[in-house]
Amino acid sequence: MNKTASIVIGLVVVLVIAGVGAYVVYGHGSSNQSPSSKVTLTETGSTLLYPVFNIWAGNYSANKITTAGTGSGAGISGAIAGTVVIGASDAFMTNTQVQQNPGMLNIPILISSQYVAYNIPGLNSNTLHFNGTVLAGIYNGSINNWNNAQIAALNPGVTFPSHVIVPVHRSDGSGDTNMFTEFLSKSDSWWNNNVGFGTNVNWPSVPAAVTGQGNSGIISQMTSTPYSIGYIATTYEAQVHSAGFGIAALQNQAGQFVTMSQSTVMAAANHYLSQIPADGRLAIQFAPGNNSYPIVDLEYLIVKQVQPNANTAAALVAFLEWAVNSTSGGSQSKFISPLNLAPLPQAVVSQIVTPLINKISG
Amino acid sequence: MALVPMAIMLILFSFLIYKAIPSMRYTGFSFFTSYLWYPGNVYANPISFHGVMAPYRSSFGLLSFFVGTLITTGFAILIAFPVSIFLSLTINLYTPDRLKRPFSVLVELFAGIPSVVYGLWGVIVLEPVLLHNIMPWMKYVGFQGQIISGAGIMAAGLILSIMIIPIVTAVISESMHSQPRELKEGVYALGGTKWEVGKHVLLGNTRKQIVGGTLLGTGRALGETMAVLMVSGSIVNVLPTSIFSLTNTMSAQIAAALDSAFIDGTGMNLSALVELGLVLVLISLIVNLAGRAIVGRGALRGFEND
Amino acid sequence: MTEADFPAGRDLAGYESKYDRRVISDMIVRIIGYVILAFMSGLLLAIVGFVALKGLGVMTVKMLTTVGNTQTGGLANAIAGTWELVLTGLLLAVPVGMFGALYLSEYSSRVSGGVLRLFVDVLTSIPSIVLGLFGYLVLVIQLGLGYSLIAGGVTLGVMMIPYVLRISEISYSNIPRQTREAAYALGADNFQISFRLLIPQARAGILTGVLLAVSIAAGETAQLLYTALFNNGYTTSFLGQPVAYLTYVVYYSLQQNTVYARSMAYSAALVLVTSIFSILLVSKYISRIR
Repeated sequence: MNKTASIVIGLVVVLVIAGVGAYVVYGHGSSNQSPSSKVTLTETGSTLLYPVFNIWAGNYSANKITTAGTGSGAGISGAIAGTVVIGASDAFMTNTQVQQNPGMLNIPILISSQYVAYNIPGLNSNTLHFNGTVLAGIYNGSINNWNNAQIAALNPGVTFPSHVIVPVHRSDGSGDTNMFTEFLSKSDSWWNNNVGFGTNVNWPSVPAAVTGQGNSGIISQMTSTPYSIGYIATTYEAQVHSAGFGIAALQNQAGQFVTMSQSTVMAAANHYLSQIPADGRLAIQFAPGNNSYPIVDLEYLIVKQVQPNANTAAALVAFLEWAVNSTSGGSQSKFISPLNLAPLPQAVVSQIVTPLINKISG
Repeated sequence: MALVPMAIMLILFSFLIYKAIPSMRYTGFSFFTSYLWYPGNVYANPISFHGVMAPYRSSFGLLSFFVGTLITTGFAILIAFPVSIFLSLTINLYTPDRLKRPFSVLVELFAGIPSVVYGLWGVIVLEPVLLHNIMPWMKYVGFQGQIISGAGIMAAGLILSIMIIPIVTAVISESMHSQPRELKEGVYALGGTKWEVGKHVLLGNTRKQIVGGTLLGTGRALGETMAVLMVSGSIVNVLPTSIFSLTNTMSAQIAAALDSAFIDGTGMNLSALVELGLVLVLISLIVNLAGRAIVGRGALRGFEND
Repeated sequence: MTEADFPAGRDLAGYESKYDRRVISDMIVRIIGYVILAFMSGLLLAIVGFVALKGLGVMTVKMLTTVGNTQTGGLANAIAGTWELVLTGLLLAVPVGMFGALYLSEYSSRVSGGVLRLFVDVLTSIPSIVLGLFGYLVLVIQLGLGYSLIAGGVTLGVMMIPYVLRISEISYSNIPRQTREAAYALGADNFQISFRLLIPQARAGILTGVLLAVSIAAGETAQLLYTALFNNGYTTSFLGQPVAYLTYVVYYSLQQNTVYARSMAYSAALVLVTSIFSILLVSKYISRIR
């Protein structure tokens, strides 16, 4: 080995060490600005809640919150395994999981809702009407063209193109699929008897169907696939609008066609909120009432009842109380309204959520 | 220290097998013959079958992912094989010596691009081009089937082929380069053209390495996850009907379905994914070890031993 | 002498027609070859150019120096996390690779060497997503390390071992036998030969292997998805905090479908490709002057 080689090697080693050193020091530097007594609360899970957690992490100063949008499954399993402190989930834990892990809490935190959106060139500025039966027909393949009479019957005066319908659904298991298929099951008996609902269902084979991973995956598939229809969490409104999709009015249990808004979501939720059991687990789709939006869901934070130490427990309790507070905390409208999430009413917070939070110990 | 790789591999295999046992008992041989991968209703009461618990109406069969892996990898090889051979011939026969080094560096840089970057390019550039420019034209010249999206078999196959061409080319080109000078000179002395040197010496004597390099490329394509996950369309439970179909592969399915498996309290979904991973490892092992046995030990991605 | 010193046959043998079938097929192969070569070079240029143009178009100092969460902010935490993960991986891969190769090259028998090498080959054959699954099941869950620098770094390190080991082994075996014999003759023991002679002599080769492993590890994603997770801030300890990394930003920000998130994906891709190309070129340079 000659001199040049030694010099080059030396330089590289110095550069690498210097670069990494600088980053590490930089990292330490910025964390030193806050007292080291701060607890880090790690969060992962629901991609629907990920934007909220990013906002919360930036606005909650008492402790540090790390966020990662992986999926509700990773949220639940991470909280159970203790790899994260907070598991965010669109779905509460299953009975099996509850039996196996009695020490876990399902804490309702926010109310979410779902769009049925479509990308039909020329019709995206129309608010088209759909009901569960027609959507079930589209997703089982029996309604396969946009000029189908059943669709036209719901939308008098609209001229539909003659083009194959591309139904888009999630490829990963998700609370969004659970919400959507539960709506279909409750409004269409064929779907209820043959497919049912769940975080992932045995989708009927439709030749034109397309899948996407995550809400974003659905949006990008629909963007690149004209004449498609799909279900998207309303937290993704900004992306839905920039993609230029149309948003459907859906027929509720009372037979009315309603669009998503804070008032229609709350109207739906109010029918069920008094029925939330002490353990917090309840599905609230397809509510009765003229003004109820039919695809509405409770969002959950899954946490361990017994935290590894008192510090973490105290930090977690403080954060949860902050998060659910709709006057000065995380549920105030400046944080959650832009994402189309609704806060839990005060009665639910005091009767259900606070007792659950108070079970946490260190 | 030399024992560490062995120890890691033994732990890995025993752990994967241990974790896959519930799925093996639940699905039995139908794991290989069914194309339905259905996580089941995890909110209903689980069922008990062959002594293991599984979600209601769950079923696990790898066929659609296996077919998807086979088709996308096959598509990639179909392109990478001739391209790599022509590239190797051109570099060894028709390229001036002073350009050979830059070309080999270029090939290595190609191989250094991360798969998510290939995926990014695939989503932003390749998919729209396929959908709007290439697929309609293919339909015009007689390909059958419904065009749904730019994602799918073609996008995944093309991205994979771009990813493995450097590997295959490096192995073939290297073995062509190391052919004895005397053989080449002999052909020239007999009045042979460069192509005749290529045909008789370079191609004729490197058949084994060509097969080996192709196998190493195949191994890489089989295991590639992220780029395929981004451009394949991630369809489940559907076998492809045409070249325009969406698809999914074994590796991409593991990445995509892992999260929903965590919701399953019985653990069966996770176990089934581990079994899928085990099958993928076995296929990948056979292909890679065969390739390595032919090419020899020096090459990792083909060109690191110069 | 090179091939160019031997003119092609048609020039030597004057009696052959210029339009001889053999000459034409030579021409055809040459043209096809050049076309493919040009096409592939163009494709590389297109991909690299795409990353460069898109990335440079949105790159700002703020992007590089602020922390971000794949939807807002910058890449500083992901850049730092990537190198933290790679360095943690090296803590495993360098000793194992360097000393493992020393054993294989100098002290193993035919049988033991063969068996151990087979397992290194097996290790190279494991698809990255399966390594990630393994890292999740064993390190994150079974050993209780959680989503952390250790879990992610070790999973990356396992993947890096074969690259360091294989290239180190080649470097050791390239050291002439006489050098060793001379050292033995001077009464050096195995330890002295290893540490004073072989490792110093092979260090350029070892470094090449390390750099190659680094360049590959920095671009990996599938191992890290469920071992490092992601972190919207800096990771300041080996345990207890997840880690951000660039490939995740490329993958995840792309899916967000907002203009800003896309620009994060492009910037992350540019940082990745630039770093990896630089490392590869340095490693190329070292292996050349060796």
